[in-house]
Amino acid sequence: MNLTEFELRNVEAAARAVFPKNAHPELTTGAEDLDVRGYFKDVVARSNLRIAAALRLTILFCAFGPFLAERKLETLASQDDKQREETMKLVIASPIYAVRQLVLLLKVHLAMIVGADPVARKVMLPTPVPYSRTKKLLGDANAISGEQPLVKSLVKGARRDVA
Amino acid sequence: MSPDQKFEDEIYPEGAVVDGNALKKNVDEEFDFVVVGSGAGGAVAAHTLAKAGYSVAIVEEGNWVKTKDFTEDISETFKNLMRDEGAQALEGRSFIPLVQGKCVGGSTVINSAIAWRTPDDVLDDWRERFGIGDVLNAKSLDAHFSALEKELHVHPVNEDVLGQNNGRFLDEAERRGWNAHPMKRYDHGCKGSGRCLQGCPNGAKQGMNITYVPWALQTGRARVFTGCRVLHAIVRGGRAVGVFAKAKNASVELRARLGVIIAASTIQTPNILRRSGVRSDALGRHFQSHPGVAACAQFDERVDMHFGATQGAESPQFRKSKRFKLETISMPPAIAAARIPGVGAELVERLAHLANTAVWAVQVRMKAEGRITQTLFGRDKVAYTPLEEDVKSAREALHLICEMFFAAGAREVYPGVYGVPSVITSPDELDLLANAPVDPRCYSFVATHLFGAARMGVDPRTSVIGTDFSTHDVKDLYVVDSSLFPTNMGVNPQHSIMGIARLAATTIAEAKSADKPHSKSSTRAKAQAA
Repeated sequence: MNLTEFELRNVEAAARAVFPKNAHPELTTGAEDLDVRGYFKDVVARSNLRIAAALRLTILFCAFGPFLAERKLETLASQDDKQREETMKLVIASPIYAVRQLVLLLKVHLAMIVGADPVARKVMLPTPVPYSRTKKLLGDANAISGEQPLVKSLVKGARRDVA
Repeated sequence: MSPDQKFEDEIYPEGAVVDGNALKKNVDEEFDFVVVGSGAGGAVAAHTLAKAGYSVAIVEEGNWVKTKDFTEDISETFKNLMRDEGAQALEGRSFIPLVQGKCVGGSTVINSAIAWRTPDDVLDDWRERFGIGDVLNAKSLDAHFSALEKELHVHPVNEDVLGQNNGRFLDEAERRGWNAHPMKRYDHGCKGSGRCLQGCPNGAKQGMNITYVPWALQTGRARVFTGCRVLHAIVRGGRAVGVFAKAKNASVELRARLGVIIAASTIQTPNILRRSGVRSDALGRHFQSHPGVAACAQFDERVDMHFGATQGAESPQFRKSKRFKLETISMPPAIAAARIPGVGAELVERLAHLANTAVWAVQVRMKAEGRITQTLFGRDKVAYTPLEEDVKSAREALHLICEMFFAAGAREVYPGVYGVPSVITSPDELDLLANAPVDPRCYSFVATHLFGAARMGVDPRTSVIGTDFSTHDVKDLYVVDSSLFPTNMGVNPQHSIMGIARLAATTIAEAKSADKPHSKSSTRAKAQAA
C-alpha cells in the first residue's frame, strides 16, 4: 500500500505544525529537517492492511482537520503555519474519540521521527547531573518535615504496613 | 564490554538455532517435548526440561534480535521486537494499546524486569475459589522462586542506578509514610541506561533472550526454531503429539513424544488451543489485565529520567485496599513527546526541558473481564472494557500521583485525562481531576500485564487447564504461561509466570520419567551419530 501525494503533503503539514523548526533557541530541529515523507512511506508500505488503513485514516483526519475542527473548506496543507498549529491543537483535542485516538497515534509516529534525531536527542537527553539519593537525604535534612527521622528512609528494607 | 566478549545470546552450539526465515524446505523433526513460545514461561519450561535430560524444541514466532543489535531508536523496537509493531489494542468501549514482545525472549526483552513473588492473598483466593491450592501455594513455589532469584540475580535497584525519577518518587512516598521501596529486578550489572523498554544494550537485564533460552541450548538437548508461527498442536487419539507451524517459505512439523507445552502468552495461547481442538467453555473467557496510566510533571530543576532504572521505584501501599500499585516509569523521548501536551511551540518548549520531566504511573488491578477470540482471518482479538469502578480506581490513583508531584515541587503537571485541563499548575486544580469523567475513553491506558483466558481449575466446566497443567480436553497438551492464571494479581507477573512454569516443567518431567527415552535422543544427536 502506498501513500498518495495528497496524503504525503498533508502528513508533512501535520508534522510541521506539531514539531515546528526553530521554535526554541536550544531545540531548533523541526519536522522540516527530517524525512517525514520517507518515514511514513516506509511504515505504511510494510504494515499490515489494518495498521496501514488506520494510519491513512489518521492522515485524512489531519488533512481535513480544518473542516473537522472549524468547518472550513480547506486542507491542512493549504493553511499557513499559524493556522495549521491551531487546527492540529483542535484536532488532537477532538471530542470525537476515534479522531483523538488516531491523531495521538500520529503524534507518536511524529515523535519517533524527532526522537531519533541525534541533534534533538542531545537537547532532550543531556548528560545527567550526578545524583545520590543517600547524599541528598543526608545533606538536605530540612527538606523533609519533622514527621520522621531521616535515618529511617536510609534503612534498607524499611517498610510500613500496608493500609 | 570488550569487542571480543560475547553476550550470552551469542553462545550456543552450532545448529541449535533454526531461522525460519531462511528455511527453503519443510521441516519434520522429533523431540521429547515441543515448547511453543520463548518468553518467561516457555524459556523456563524448556530449560527445566532440557536440564532434566529431555530433548526440547522451542518454537518462537518472532526473530532472535541479539543484544549487540539493540538500538535506542524506539521505532526500531516497535518494528523488530513487538507484535504488530506495537499497534495491538484491547477492543471495547475504548481501544487500549496492548504491548507484547514478539521475539526470542518475548515480552521479557522489552519489559522492566520487575520481580514480584505471587502475593499470598492471591494464592489464597485461587485456593478458595478455584481449588488449585494443592498445586499452587507458597510452599510449592518457594524453591522455584528462590532458584530463579539466584539464577537471574534478583535484587533491589542499586543506589548508583536509581536516578532522580525514581528517587523523587521514593522521597515523596516515604514522606507520606507509605510502603515504598526500590523495585526488585532481574539485574546483573545495570548501568542505568534507561533502555529496558528497547532491549538492554548491556546484557544486564536478565531477559529470557540472554538467560534461559541460550542456557537451554547450551545443554545440547534443545533447539530453537525462530520465525515460525505455530498454528495448532497436532492431536491424535485425544493426545497432543506435536505442533504444526508456518515459516516464511516452509512448513515446520515438530513431533513430540511426550508432550506439547504452550506458552505463547495470554493472547495467543487460547487461540492455539482452540485451533488444536480444545473446546472448554472457559477457553478465551475471563481475560484480565492491569491497564496502566501515567501522569507527567515538569520541575524547575533536572530530573534526568533517561538515566537510571527505567522502572525503579514502587509503592504497593494501596494494592489491597484500592487495587492499584504506584510505580515510576521513564519514557524514551519519542513516547514522552507523544504524551506531553501541546502542539507547536508549546510542545517544543516542553521537550527542550524533557530533562526536567518526571513520569509516575499506576497499574490498576481491574475487575473487568474480557474475551479472546479470533477473527475469520485468524487474527487474535481481545474484547475488553474497564468497569466503572476500575476507571474510578485509575482516577483516584492519578489524583494521588498529581498531588505527589505538586508536593515534590513540580511546576506543571500533565494528568493526561480528557475532560481535565492538559496542564495544571496548582494543587487547587486537582479537584477537576477528582471529578474527571469515568469513561475509559478519557484515559490513556496501556495494557501490558495479561492474565486468564485458559485458566486453571478443578472443574472442567469453568476452567481449561487441570492441576497437572494439561488441558482437560487433550492429553499431554500443557499450558505454562499467564493464561492459566485464574485471576490477575495486582503485581507484575513475570516472576509468577516463571515460577509456575518451573514448577510445571518439573512436575511434567517427573511424571514422564518412567517413559523417559535416552537422554540424547534428539534428531540432531541421531544425525550426528549417523
